Amino acid sequence: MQRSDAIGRPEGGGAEPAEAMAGGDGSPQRSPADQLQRARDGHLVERARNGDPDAYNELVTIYQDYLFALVVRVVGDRDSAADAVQEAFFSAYRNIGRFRGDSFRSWLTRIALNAATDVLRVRKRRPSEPFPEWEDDAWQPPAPDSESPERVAFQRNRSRLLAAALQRITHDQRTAIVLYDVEGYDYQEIADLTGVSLGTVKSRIHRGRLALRDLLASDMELLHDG
Amino acid sequence: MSVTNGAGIPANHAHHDRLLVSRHAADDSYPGEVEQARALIAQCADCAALATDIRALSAATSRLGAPARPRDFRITAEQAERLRGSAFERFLRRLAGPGLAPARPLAGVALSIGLMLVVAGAAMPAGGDAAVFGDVAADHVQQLQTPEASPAMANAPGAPEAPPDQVNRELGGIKGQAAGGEANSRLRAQDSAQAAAAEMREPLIYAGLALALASLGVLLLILLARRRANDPLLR
Repeated sequence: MQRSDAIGRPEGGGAEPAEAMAGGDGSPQRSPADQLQRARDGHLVERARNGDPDAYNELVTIYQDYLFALVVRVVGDRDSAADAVQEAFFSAYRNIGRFRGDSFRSWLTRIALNAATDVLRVRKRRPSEPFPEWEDDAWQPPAPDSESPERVAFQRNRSRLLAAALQRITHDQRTAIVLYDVEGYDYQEIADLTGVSLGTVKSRIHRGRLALRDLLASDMELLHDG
Repeated sequence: MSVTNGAGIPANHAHHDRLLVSRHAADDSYPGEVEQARALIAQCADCAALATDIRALSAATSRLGAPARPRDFRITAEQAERLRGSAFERFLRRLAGPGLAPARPLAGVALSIGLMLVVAGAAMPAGGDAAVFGDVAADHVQQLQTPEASPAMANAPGAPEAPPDQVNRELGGIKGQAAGGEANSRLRAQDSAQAAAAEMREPLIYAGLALALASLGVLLLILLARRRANDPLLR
């Protein structure tokens, strides 16, 4: 699916969005790759339903990187994110007989977001040291070999600042921004995944961006540079 | 933020217009506000900077890295076995799933119908009541047919001659006998209807009870399934 907006699409940073925009006749228009992905997932889900754990593990292999990257951006630390993703995969396996949608990826994403929400809820009740991993290099995107050390350091600094600011906006705003800007979902898909209206999704994204801009007001030049 | 009052731009757009500019930067303006957003960006340096920042923020967010996955999330055979649960648990999960969602309203309707059948059956006269009713009706008819009740019967050949006023009474008696015959057939019809109803009574009550109990069982099973198979992550 292509999302056309003034901001533009991620440059390879986001995963392939699961759903497609509706066509002129109201039916969803899906790319051949998307159709293939759904057919493959459907086949693996059917095998997993019949008690084949290897088929389910194929699905885990396909989606674990995507799911962990999504959840860790929402919850902010690796350990909690890993626990949430593991719970999501357990829950999906336990309930695979109840999966009725046509996108396993969206269903899994919804479960993982619920697990992330639970992590944040527990953290709110028992606040501990918040997000000690901002300084961790593991947060940084891999730098191409051609990049100069200065450039790599600059990009790491920018990512660290942005990640820290993201953790300071509300959970709902952060989730919406990550799903839209990082993962490439469109507004309707985010509304379906998070169970809120289209207007609420837009509001969360725009207000979240404004909040981020306020938090990063003194460092905006870092974001403008490449 | 300060701005000149031109092109319908409000002088104070500290909050609302930030959202307007943010939406415009994302090409997400509502119909009718595009011109206002363009005017703001063209005439207000702060608004122009905000639009640029929002675009830069979104681009930077899209390139935001994530830490490497710390472990493999594939499930082991033991975990798979434990997660699958027993056949009964799998049945309960299936029962709680969306595929059998219509079962609950259907069971509710069946329970109502069963209870209605029980009530309707209980309202019908029992077999014993119908027999008593039939006996009473038969006695009544017999009384109507006795010579005291029907003097015409007493005027059969060989009976002593009756005086004229007695003739009038006999005529009245003949009329009464005719009425007694009608009542007899009416009562017999009622009797047979009552007997038929009495025959239906028990099967109706038992069928209603069976339906109500079966649907109650289904409802309780669904309730148990929903409680046992409830997974908060599927909310």
